[in-house]
Amino acid sequence: MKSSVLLVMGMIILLFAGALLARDNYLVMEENYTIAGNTLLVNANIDVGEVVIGKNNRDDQCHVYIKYTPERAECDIRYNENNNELDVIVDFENWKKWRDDKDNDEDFLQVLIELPANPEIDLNTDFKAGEFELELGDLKIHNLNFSNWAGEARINFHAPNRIKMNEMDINFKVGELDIQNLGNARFEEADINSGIGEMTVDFSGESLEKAMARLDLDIGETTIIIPNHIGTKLRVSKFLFLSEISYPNWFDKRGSYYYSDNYENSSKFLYLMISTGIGELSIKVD
Amino acid sequence: MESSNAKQTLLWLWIIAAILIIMCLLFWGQGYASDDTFYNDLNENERNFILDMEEQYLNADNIKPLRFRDDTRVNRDELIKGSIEVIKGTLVLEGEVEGTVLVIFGDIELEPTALVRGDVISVEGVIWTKSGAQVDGDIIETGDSYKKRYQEYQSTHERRSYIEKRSDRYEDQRYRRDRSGFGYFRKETDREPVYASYNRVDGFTVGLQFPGAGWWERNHHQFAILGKGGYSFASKKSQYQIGLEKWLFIDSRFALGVEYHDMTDTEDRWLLSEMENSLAAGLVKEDFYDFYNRKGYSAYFSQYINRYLFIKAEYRDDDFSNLVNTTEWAVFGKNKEFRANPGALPQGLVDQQLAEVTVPGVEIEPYLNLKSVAGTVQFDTRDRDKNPGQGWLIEAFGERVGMDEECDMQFERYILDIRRYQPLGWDENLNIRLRGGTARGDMPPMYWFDLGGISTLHGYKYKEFTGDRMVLANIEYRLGTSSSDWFFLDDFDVVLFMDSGYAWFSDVETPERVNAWSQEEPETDPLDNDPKDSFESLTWKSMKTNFGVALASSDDDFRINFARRTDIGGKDFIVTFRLQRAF
Repeated sequence: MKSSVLLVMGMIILLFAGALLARDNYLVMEENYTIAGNTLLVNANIDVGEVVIGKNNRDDQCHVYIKYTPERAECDIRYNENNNELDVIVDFENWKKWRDDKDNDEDFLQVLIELPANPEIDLNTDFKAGEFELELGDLKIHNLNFSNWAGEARINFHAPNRIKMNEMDINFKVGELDIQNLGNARFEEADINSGIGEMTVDFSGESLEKAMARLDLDIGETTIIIPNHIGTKLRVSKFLFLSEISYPNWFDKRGSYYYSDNYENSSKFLYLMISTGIGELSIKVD
Repeated sequence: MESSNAKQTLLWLWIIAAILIIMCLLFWGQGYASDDTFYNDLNENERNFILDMEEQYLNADNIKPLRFRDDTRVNRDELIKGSIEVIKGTLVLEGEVEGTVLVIFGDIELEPTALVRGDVISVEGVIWTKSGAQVDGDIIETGDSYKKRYQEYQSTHERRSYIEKRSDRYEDQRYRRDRSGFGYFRKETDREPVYASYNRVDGFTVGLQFPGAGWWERNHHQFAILGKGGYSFASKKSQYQIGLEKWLFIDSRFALGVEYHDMTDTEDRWLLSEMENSLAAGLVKEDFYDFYNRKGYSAYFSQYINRYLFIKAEYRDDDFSNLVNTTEWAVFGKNKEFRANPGALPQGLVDQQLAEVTVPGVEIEPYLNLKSVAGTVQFDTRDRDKNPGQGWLIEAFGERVGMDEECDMQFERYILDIRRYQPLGWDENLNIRLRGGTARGDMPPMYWFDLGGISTLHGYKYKEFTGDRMVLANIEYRLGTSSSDWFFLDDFDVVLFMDSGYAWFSDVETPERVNAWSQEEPETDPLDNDPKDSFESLTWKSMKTNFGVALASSDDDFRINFARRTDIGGKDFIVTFRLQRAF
């Protein structure tokens, strides 16, 4: 009995050791750039992986960390200090066959981009597949163009954007998209397009004054959460009778629009132009 | 006996017309409203408040604004030459307004294509300005809360201390404009530089075109270069039209123009748009137009008498020729064929000209030369060109062909089209069209009137009836169910419709006589046939009628019609799909 327990423990130790040894084959790229100017353009063209974009501890420094296996991935980090442009490129061979398997060495790929708080940032992402987490609160996001083919993505503004956002364009093709605290983004006009899958858009936040968003939904389940202190107006274009929409009693229909109970009394306004596809749209008031 | 029937028929027609007119007058005040009725359903406080706001924000305008109630849309191709006022609804502005935009108790949505020369003011509402929208004046959100509005506003017209949020970003570029003149919606829509079409006689045609006269006017020109040129791949021919129009005066525009052309043309544009016909031909092999080639020139003058009334007089000199099918391609419908394009010219004329060719190997294109003077009078009070909700559109057209002996034919033709768009409530509309056509003398086949099928008598075959006389009545009762939340009604309005009409030849021998093209003197001169006497053969029994129901998207860009004729039993419903309104 004792020997068998020891055998099992030995095998486990070997397995872990093997895994740890294997991870020694990974390559790591890590760069820190001090941003001298007032603006920063970030282009993240990343085929696959676990990608985290967030705020750096240093307000004037940008930190990029990539851990990958070189068998199928080619990575590059470029910073042009003349025009303050940062390019993070991950080119993955045959990315459609990438699997989100952390134990598969060939598929392992982690990217961390930490952005400084001082410069105004134009953030352009072109993601193909993977898990993407963007914690964009307390930064100066001037433009956000987020494009994602497949996977899971979470965009969160846990704290108010430090400046008014000029443009926000989110395109998500297939998978699960979770956008939290969008009211902190300080956007005035946004486009959110979702292809196939599940999407949650939460407009909570303290900084929403007057904003409009176009939401174009194709196939899947969508939940929109609206804070109850915002006067909200909805215009919903349905795709024939294939969309199922549930409105809370908080809304009253007048003409072609739905108005929240507090629309006339509120000093903060949100206007959502929603085009629904096939599936369920649920609108909730928080 | 027949004569007394005809008199009875005419009497009934007059009674029906009188009832329609009385009904329209009774309901005139709804929707786009006259002064007397615009404030009718408002309480005194609201009315005084609105009058006060109008005085404050529209006082500089010497003319009355276009006024609307409830949700309103100004489309991209529409121009309002004065100011616009909307009460208790959202105004979606895609087009252009030369004056002030005032919305009271409602929001304003300025779409990216919106252009406002004056101020944009929302009283008790929110202004949503999308990227690209241009406002030369101020953007003002003003007012207090709805609840306070009723409680605090004093009918003594004391000014309240309104919260007024004024955008100053356009202050420096404030546009100084002439506020005089009347406003009317632009008749010429903006045209893309590249055009394309598909039909069975030309196949795919692609080309370039000049913008419409409206574009030249907006760019402060007093002339317009008009026309287009393109190439048709199946018929392997070039088509073009080039013209120049020069006008005087901005408001009461008087225009002179000339144009020269060599192109495929049709008399069927009143049935459906060229875009819808191209899609039907290219996708499902259904080409609804009948074509002829027209080569020649015209000179014209036109005059806007006022905001609603427009007249045009024209001299035309054209050589017409037949066209035949040159393609059988379509995405679907491999097992069916296009309708043969009917001959536009009298067959006897074609045969005669072909027989005159005696040189072997030489081919000629038989043609018919027509010189004519034509006149058009249009009275248009519709609230918008596309999918109108209220107003009149009356068009009268007359043409006299063959004023000299050189002309191949002598005849006159007249077409009268009367349409009324009548709201019966915020979600109900009654739309009526009466159309009639008649002629003096023998017309060539291309000008014969056709009825049946889409846009005319939905329960009958396409162009089932043909003649040199025509009467048509279409009535639609539209229920705005798409604003509800129930199953498919959430997406469609329900339309109940009735069509009644008939096309016939005043003389049954006319087709044979025209196609025979005999140079012998007829026993009776066709020109002796008076147009107004030609309806004696029309009886109730001869009128073809159908009833139907349609499901239509709210903007009428998709519609399914189910129609059934009433003259014979046992016939199935005829189902048609449309991408636009019948009228």
